[in-house]
Amino acid sequence: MKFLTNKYFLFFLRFLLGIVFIFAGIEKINSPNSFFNSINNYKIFSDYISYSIVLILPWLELFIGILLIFNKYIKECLTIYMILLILFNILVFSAIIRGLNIDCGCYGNSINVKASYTKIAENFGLFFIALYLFLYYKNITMNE
Amino acid sequence: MNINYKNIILIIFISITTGLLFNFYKNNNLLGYRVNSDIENAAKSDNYQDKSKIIRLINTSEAKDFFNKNDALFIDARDSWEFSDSHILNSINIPEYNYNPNNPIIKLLDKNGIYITYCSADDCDLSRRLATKLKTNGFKNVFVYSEGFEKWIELRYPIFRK
Repeated sequence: MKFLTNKYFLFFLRFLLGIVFIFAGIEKINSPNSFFNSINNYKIFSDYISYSIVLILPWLELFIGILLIFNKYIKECLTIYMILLILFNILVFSAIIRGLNIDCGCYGNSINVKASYTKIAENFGLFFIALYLFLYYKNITMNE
Repeated sequence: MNINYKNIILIIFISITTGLLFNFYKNNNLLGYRVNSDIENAAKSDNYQDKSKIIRLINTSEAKDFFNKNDALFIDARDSWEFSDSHILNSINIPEYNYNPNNPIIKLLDKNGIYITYCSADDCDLSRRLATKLKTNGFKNVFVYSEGFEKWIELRYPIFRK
């Protein structure tokens, strides 16, 4: 199990998490209107909450991605990362349960991913990578 | 190392400020978002600043009224292959994805006429987007039939089928 604490492997995981969030963040900043529509399609939030999400969430994702790649405030970032992923999963799951056939709005306009169990699995994958990094943060620093 | 909660709050705070600043300096963006909600709230709205951008949603019975009286032209915002498969009787097709104001069909249309855009169902926003575009190109009476083609079929209203 040596490779699990290999620093290049850990770097790769961190980089992966960072890139996913940076990409998602930039895409949403690029197309705020379509992101707004995606949120509205979930039919949960009132308009003002949706505005706030459109304004803030993409930047939060972008900053977390950048901080992860540059190895700053790792634990804090991973905490927010995991909380966000859990919230996303709750949203997607609620959409599936209510039988909504909608875009999940995860990556803005460029990639249209349906809100589906595949999406939930993908989010859980990212979640466990984040959790792993979170738990072994000490070992990472020792290794480097 | 323990989590420093101050840093979490700091990160969130920086995102909020950047988001707000970015929106502030990108001209009229928040209004841009409003256009979408105007579509939803048009019926009950009185005090919106930009009334020209308001687009009214209509339901199936209203749409059927227009259809029966032959007052309005239905515009299908979906792809051309979906349109050619089946559509509301006597409707025309203007796909939203390659909308072009210089399109000869659009140039032929009377800007004072009544137009109703629709797409497949409640959760597709092609019709709303197309209506917004038509509105910005000077069409005065554009409505969105929000429940869409699926509802129309479900109620067995007249359609064209290949």
